Amino acid sequence: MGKILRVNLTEGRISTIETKQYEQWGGGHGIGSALFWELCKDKAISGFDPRNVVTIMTSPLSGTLVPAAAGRTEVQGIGVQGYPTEWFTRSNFGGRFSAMLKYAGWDGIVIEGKADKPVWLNIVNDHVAIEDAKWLWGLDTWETQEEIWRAVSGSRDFRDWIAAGAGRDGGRTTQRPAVLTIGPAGEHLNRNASLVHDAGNGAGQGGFGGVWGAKNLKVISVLGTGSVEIADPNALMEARRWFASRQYNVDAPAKQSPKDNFSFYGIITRSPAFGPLIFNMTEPCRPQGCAGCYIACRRRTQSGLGNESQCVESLHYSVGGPQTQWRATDLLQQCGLNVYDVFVTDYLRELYKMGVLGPGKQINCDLPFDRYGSPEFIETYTREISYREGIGQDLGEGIIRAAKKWGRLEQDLNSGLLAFPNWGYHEHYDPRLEVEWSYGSILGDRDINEHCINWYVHWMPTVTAMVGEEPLYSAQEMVEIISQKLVPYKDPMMLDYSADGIYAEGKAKMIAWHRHYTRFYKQSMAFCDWAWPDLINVNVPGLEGTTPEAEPRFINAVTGKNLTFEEGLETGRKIWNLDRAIWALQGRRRDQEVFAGYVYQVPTKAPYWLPVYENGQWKYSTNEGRVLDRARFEEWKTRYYKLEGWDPSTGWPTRPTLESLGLGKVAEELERHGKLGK
Amino acid sequence: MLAEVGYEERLVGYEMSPATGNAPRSLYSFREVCDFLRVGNPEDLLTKGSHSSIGYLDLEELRRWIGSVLGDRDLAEAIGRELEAHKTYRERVDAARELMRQRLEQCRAALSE
Ligand code: SF4
Repeated sequence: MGKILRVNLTEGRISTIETKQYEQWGGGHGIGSALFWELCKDKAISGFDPRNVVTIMTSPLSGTLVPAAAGRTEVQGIGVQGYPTEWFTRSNFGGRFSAMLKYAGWDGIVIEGKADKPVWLNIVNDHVAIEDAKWLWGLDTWETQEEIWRAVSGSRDFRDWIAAGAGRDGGRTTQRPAVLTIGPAGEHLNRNASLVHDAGNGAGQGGFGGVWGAKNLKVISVLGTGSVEIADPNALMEARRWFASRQYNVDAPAKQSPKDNFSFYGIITRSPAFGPLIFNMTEPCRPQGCAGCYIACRRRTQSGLGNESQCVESLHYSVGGPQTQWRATDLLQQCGLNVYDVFVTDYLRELYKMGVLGPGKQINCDLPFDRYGSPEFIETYTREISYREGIGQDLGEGIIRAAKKWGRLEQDLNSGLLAFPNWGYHEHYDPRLEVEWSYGSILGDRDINEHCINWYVHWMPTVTAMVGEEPLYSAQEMVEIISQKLVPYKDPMMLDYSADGIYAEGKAKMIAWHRHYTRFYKQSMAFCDWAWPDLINVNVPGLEGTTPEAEPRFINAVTGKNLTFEEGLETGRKIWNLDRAIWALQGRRRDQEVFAGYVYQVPTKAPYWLPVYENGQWKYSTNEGRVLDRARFEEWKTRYYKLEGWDPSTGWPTRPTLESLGLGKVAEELERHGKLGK
Repeated sequence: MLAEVGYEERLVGYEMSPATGNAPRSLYSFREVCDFLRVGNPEDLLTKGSHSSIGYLDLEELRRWIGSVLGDRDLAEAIGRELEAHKTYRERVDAARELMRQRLEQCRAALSE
């Protein structure tokens, strides 16, 4: 453990924090929450307030050779996207930023205050400077990065060495700095602005681009020439070899994809370099991944279109032809926009068709709907939002606040025309059915975006159904294998998505396990969501994934500790409780933890595969015609709060729960504010 | 037959993608419906970019929509016969799509497109 960089933009002051003080939190999110708790004195402020504290954290595994865990960075602070409250929230991005930050000698960065003019932060090993960013303001995210590369590295050829310091031992590298930046959307204080790094790594959810814009912070650039110390290098290499022998699916794959290069299939068979999910490139391209990742789930293409973008961002404009889609995705990244908020052109078209939106209509809008599907439409749309022109003046506030201003919010959330089930975030997986996702989201601060269970319970049966194959494993096999890994509960009913199962005790255990696992292993130790946990592996006999053995094995090799899987979950529970305390101070109440109206009122209409336990048997069901039952969900919440040791009437953590986790001071603070559970 | 219909007359389908779950999609014309209705197969998944999911429609609703909103009773009846004749969703979609493709060709030919 090293040090964390503390930057106060108001005072132009740079200082350091010893990471050791925060060791109990693991890394990443845990340390970020602890720092926020201490440094953000008034947690009920707006995310745009200069007093908001933003943390950008690595994990102990960043920059190491741990598979699919070395290249993720966690961002936290009060976001500006959440509705009705701007919750303390998190976002995360991949690439090489976290590794570079570690090579520069830093475990993370804390940003406080607001600069009086645009600035950028220039980190070269332990030299840190706050510099004038007037010359960068107005540039898009790609132009900005190129400018920074030139400024820090000089106009060198990409094969040249760059000296990081003066003298022979100052450090040298061939790498360009890792740059995290906002684009025009962030500069215009959009609530849907992202932070972008390299071509296609974005921290979108939360609207941290707008938060940086409010702080007048355009860029953080980091160049490091050091390395990360590994406590037991032999153990790490052994663990990698063991993992590779079980995981890789290259020479003799047990399950052949029905087609080469078939990325949808690759993710369930865990093939290395399975490629982006949505872009099905027909042009020459090569795999691209975050630092140290064997999966390399993105691509670099010959044309350069769609480089590094690999998931929902590529759906920004799914009505256009492939070339138009790729270009639209690049534009989104260049402008620094969060796809999951601006991915609403279909909704706007509905309003246009209803006759309420259009030139001179109730919602005045000049978007060319007569050319919907064309490149012109999406270019105009993206530009108007990013620069707050035309309809973008409203949409830059995020679609939920725009709909509220237009007087449509309640009716459109009730009908499901606006499918935003929780906290103003877009629906991801069906909240009426795939409840480990929706319950986790409503109990937290955002759309959770954690695929831990989703790969197995929904993706696999869906993808195989899509290609007309039998499922790769039966529902019974899946439940038997996975439930044994869901320690300490090991309860098969955790995986029951039937009309009764989603309100049962098993689902409370499932949500608890998931919240604790992700808070520690994914968000604090930065194991990538696309690869972990490894619950089922079709490449080995018996189908057993490497969880729960792998995670502590890798962590211990790097840190020299003797962590057990259960201890990691317990730290996750501690972090989850601290986050919960922060939300309580922001005004969270039990009666707010309810979904948008459509979740309770509008039945599902299309097949959605999930395992159910019915008539004494496990099977994959298509689960049509379901709504969430309001009363049963309320009963379920009581059950869950009790399981977590929270007050069932308020949902706030109680003193015994907090004290058992070593959070007595947190209990005192909650008590002072009248927010301690009884 | 190829004109766009109004909001109240639209047909709602579901884009089923493992990346995002099921997303409703409003369809405003026969062309859009022909383009949307599909059952995944590996070939499509590789070559059609974001159109690589299942475009799901309630086929009975589709039949009614073609008959009443578009007013093409012949096509609606022909689709109805195919729905009766086939068992699985995939088979029904393939049969309905073929009929719709032929009708779209005929419309295009009539318009000299
Ligand atoms: S799986 Fe993809 S997103 Fe995750 S670390 Fe690897 S390359 Fe990055």
